[in-house]
Amino acid sequence: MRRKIVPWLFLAPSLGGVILFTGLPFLDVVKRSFQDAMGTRFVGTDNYQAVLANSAFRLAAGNTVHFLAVCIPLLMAVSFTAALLISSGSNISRESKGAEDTGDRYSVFRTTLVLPMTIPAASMVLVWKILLCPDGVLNQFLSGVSGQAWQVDWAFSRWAFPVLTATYLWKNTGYDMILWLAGLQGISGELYEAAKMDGAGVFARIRYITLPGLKGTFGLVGILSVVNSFRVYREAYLLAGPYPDASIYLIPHLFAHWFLNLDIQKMTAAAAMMTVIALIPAVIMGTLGMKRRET
Amino acid sequence: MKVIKKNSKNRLMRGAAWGLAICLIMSALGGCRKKTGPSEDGTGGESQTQVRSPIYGQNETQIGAMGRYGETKVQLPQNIEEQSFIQFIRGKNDRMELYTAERVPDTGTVLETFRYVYEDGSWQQDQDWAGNQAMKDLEISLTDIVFGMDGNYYAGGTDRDYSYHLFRLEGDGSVQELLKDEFKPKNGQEYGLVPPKFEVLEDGRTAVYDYREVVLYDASGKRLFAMAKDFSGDTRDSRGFCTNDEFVTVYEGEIVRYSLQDGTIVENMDYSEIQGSRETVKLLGDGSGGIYAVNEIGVSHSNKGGTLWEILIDGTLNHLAMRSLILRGFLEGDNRDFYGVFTGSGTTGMEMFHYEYDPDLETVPPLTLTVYSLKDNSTVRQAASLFQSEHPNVRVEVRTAVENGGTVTEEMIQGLNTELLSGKGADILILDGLPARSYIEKGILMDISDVVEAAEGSGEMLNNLLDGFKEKDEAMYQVPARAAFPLLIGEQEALQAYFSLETMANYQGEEPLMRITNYENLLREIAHLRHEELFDPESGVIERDNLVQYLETVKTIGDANGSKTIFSEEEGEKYFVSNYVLPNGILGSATEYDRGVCSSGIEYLDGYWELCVAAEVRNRHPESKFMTAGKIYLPSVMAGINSSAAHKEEAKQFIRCLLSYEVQKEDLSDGFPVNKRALQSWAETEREGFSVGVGYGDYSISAQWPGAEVRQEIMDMLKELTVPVTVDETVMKMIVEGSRNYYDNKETVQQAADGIMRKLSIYMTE
Repeated sequence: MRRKIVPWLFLAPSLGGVILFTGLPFLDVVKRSFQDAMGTRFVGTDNYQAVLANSAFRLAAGNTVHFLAVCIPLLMAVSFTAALLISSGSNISRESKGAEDTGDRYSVFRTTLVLPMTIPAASMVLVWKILLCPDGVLNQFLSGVSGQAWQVDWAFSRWAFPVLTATYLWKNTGYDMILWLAGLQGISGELYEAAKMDGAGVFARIRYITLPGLKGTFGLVGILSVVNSFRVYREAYLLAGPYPDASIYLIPHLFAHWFLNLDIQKMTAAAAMMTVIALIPAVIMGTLGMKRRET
Repeated sequence: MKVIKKNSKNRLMRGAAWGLAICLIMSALGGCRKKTGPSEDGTGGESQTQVRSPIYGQNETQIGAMGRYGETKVQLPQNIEEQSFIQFIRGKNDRMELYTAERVPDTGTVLETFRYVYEDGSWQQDQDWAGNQAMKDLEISLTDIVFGMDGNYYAGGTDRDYSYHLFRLEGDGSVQELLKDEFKPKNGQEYGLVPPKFEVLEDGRTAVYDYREVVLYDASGKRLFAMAKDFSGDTRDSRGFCTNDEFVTVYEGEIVRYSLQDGTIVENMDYSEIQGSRETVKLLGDGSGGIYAVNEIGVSHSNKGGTLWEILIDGTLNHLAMRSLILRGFLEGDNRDFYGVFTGSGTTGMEMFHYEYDPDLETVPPLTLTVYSLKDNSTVRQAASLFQSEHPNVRVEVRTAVENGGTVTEEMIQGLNTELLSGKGADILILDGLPARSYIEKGILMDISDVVEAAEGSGEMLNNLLDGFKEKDEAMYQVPARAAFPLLIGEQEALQAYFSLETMANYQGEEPLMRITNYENLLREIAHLRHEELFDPESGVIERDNLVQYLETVKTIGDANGSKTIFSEEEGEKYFVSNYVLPNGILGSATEYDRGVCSSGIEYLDGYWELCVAAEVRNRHPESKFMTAGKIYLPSVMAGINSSAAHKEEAKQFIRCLLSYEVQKEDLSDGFPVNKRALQSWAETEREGFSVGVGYGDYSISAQWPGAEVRQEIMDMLKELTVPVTVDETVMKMIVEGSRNYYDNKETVQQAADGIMRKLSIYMTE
C-alpha cells in the first residue's frame, strides 16, 4: 500500500499546480465557450460556429499549422545536424588529443549556437529590423552585389514568412541542439566502435545506432519545439506589429485582438477547439505507446 | 498475479482521477460563488459601515473609524466678486485679514486696495485701513502685504517703472521705505528683483525671497546671508516660511530647515513622504516647530524633528484637488481648523473654505465610486472634486492608466478588460481610447438614456452634441462631456473645396489648399475632415475605392504644398514644419494662411483660447470667413457606467454632475461644454488685458481675447454640429503605415491600397 501511495505523494505538488493553474482555468474556458461574452447567457454552439465561420481564424489557424509544419521539422533537422557535427567533431578532437583534453574548440560552436537564447527578444528584433528594413543592411548588400537597387521590405511583404522562420531557427537551434547532445551522450560509444569494426559507414551508424538511441529525445525535442513555436508571436509582433503580412498572422495575433475587443466568447471557443485538436495526436501517440509497452 | 496487480493499480488511478475531476467540477461551479444574505453573527448596528476594499466590487464589513476634516464654504463679502486677491494673513491681535484689489482691466495696475477682517464668523471691510491711501499717494501697485513678527505691517509693490519697493506701514498712516537699493536693476539688467515673497522677523530682520534663494537682511538693511531653495518661476512663492529662528523651504527634493543664525541647514526631510506637487505646495508653520504642507493631496503635518507625515485633510475629498481652482492663501484657525482662499485661473472670483474636524464623519467615506480613464482628464477631476464636496459620504477614486502624458499600450486595455470580464472594474468608465463599441455590444455598459434624457429634457444641454450617441433603440451607453471641432478659415472659394475629396483634390488656387506638414498629419487631418465620406458609419472601415481616392487626394494636396513623410532638420527650419504627429493631425494653420503660404487654415477649436489667433487672422483678412467642416465635431470625455457597477445610482449622479453647469462652466482646455448654460457663460466671459502672441521666422502676430460677436458666432456653430467623429486608430495606423511607400514614390497607389486592404480585411473579419 505504501509503495502505491509514495509515487502519488511525489506527484502531488506538480499535479496540484497543474490542476489549480491549468486544469481549473481550462474548465472555465470550456464553460465560457458556451456562453456570451460576459458569461451571463448560455448560447449553445453559437460561438463555435462563429469562430469556424471567421475567416481571420481560418487564416490564423492555417498559418499556425503551416508554421509548425515547416519550422518544427526544419528546426529538429538543423539542430540535430548541428548536434551531430559538434558531437562527432568533439569526439574526434578528444581521440586525437587524449581524453584529458576536455576544453575542446567545439565548445565555441556550442556557445555560439546557444547565444541567441540569451539575447532579449526586443533587442534581437531591433537588429533584425536594421538588417531587413527597405534601407537596411540586407538590401544594401544585395544592391552592392547585384548592381541593382533593392528596396524589399522583408518584414512586411511575402518574405515575412521566411524571415520569421529564420528568426525562429536562429533563436531555437541552440536550445534543441543541447537536448540532442544530451541524448547523444546517452548512447554508448562501444556501439559505434563495434559498428565501425563491422564496417558500418557514417550514415549506417546514424540510421542504426544514433536514431534508435534518440527515440526518447526525439519526443522531448518535438514537444519543446512546438511549445517554443508558440512564443514566436513575440518576435512576429515586435517585427511587424499587430497586423503583419497575412502569411505570418498567427493565432496569438488573433487572440490578442479578440481580447482587446473583449471577444472572450470567440477566444474561449477557439481555445477549446485548438486544445482538442492538439490533444488528438497526443492521445494517438500515447495510446500507441501504451500498446507498444504492453506487447 | 501480475494481471491482478495491474488491474488494482488501474482501478486506484481511475478512482483518483474521478475524485479529482469531481472536486474540480464542484470547485469550478460553486467555489467562487459569493455568499449573500445577512452575516452569520447578525451584527450590523450603527458602529458598522460598509467599506469598499481597494479591489473593485469587494465590499467588506468592518468597524468604521469615525472623525475627519469636513469642508464648509465661508461667505465672502458680495462686493469682493470683481476684486482680485492680494494676500490672506493673520494680522494684529491674531485676526484673519484678507487683502484685495481693484485693478485697471488692461494693465492690471492696482487702483484701490481693500482690507477685510474676519470677526464673529463673518468678513467685514476695514474702512479705517490707511494702507490704501498710502500706496495711492506713492503710486505703488500693491503686490504683497505682511504682518511682521515685530508687530508691524509691511507692504510691497511696484511703481510705474515696475521697480519694487518695500515699506513699513506706520500706525499713523505714514510709511518708511526699506532696503531701497536692493530692488534696483543690477549688472546691466533692465529690471530689478520683484520678490515673490518677504517676511519680517521679531528683531526687524527681513527675509526677501528671490527665485532660487532667500536673502536675509538685518534691521539696518545690511545683507547677512542667502539660503538656497528650489527654483520657482511663480510671482508668488509659498514654498517656505520663517520662524524667529529658522527658515523652512524645499530644496533639491527635500524639505530643509535653515538656521537663521548663520544660514546653515540644520535638518532635512525627504519630500517624497508628502506626495503630490512639489511645485505648488504651500508650507506653513504650526506654531511649535512643526510643518504643514498643503497641496492637491491635502494637508500633511510633521512635528519638529519628526520623519513621518500625517495627512490631516484628504485633499481629494474637497476643493483642494479641484483643477479649476488655485489655492492662494491657507491659514490655521484657532482650534486646529484651517481656512483656504482659492481663485480660478485668474486672481478674481475668490472662494473661501473652512476645514474643521468633524467627529461624526467617517474617517474614510463609506462608499467609494471609481472612475477609470486611460489618461488624466481635468473635467473628470473637476467633477470628482465637486461631487465629493457635495457628497461627504462618497469618495471618488479616479484611476488613470498613464500618468503625465505617457503612452497608452494594449496591455493597459487588456488589464482593464480582465477586470471587466470578472464582473469588476471601475463604476464609471471614461471611454476615450477604449473599444467603446465592443463594450456596448458585450453589455459592459449600462443604458444611461434616463440620465441623458433628463438632462436634455431640462433644456440645459446641447442636444445636438449628445443625440449622436443614441443607439437605434434609443438606448444610450456613452455620453460626451466635452466637444471640439475643426474651424476652417479662408476665402469662400478655398472653403468650398472642403466639401468633398474630389473638390479638395481639384482645387486650383494660387496657393496650395492646406499647409505643409508631414504626410501622417495630412492623412489624419483629412480622415477627420472627410470622415463621413470615407468611413462606414457602422464598422468604421473604408472601402477600397474610397481608400484609393483618399490616398490620391492626400498626395495631390501634399505634392502641392511640399509635404513629406519625414522632414530633415534643415527642411524643418526652412518651412517651419516638424515630424511631430497629432492624433487628429490638425496642427493649427491660421497663421500659415495669414502668411500667405496656403489658401486656408484649420484650427482645432476646443475653447475660446484657441480662437484668439484665428479671429485676429480673420480681422487681417476681411475677405476671409470661418466655416465648420460639415457638421462634424470631435467628442471627448466619453463617460459610461459599468453594468457591473456596485453603486449604479451614485454613478448616475456622477454623470449628472459631469454634465452639470457647475462642472461644465470651467474652461479646463479639454473641449467646449455640452451644457448650453455653461457654453453661454463661456461666450459671455470677457478677459480684458488678455493677449497672446505667436511668432516664428520673420512672422509674428499678436491677438486679444476674441470679441463678443466672434464668441457668439462660434457658439452658434457649435449648436449646429451633429456628427461625432472618432477615427478608428487601428485603421488609421494601417493606412499611415501602408501608404508610406506610396508617398515616398516607391510604389503605386494601387499597391499601397492592396497592402492596406489586405490588413483591413483581416481586421474587419476578426
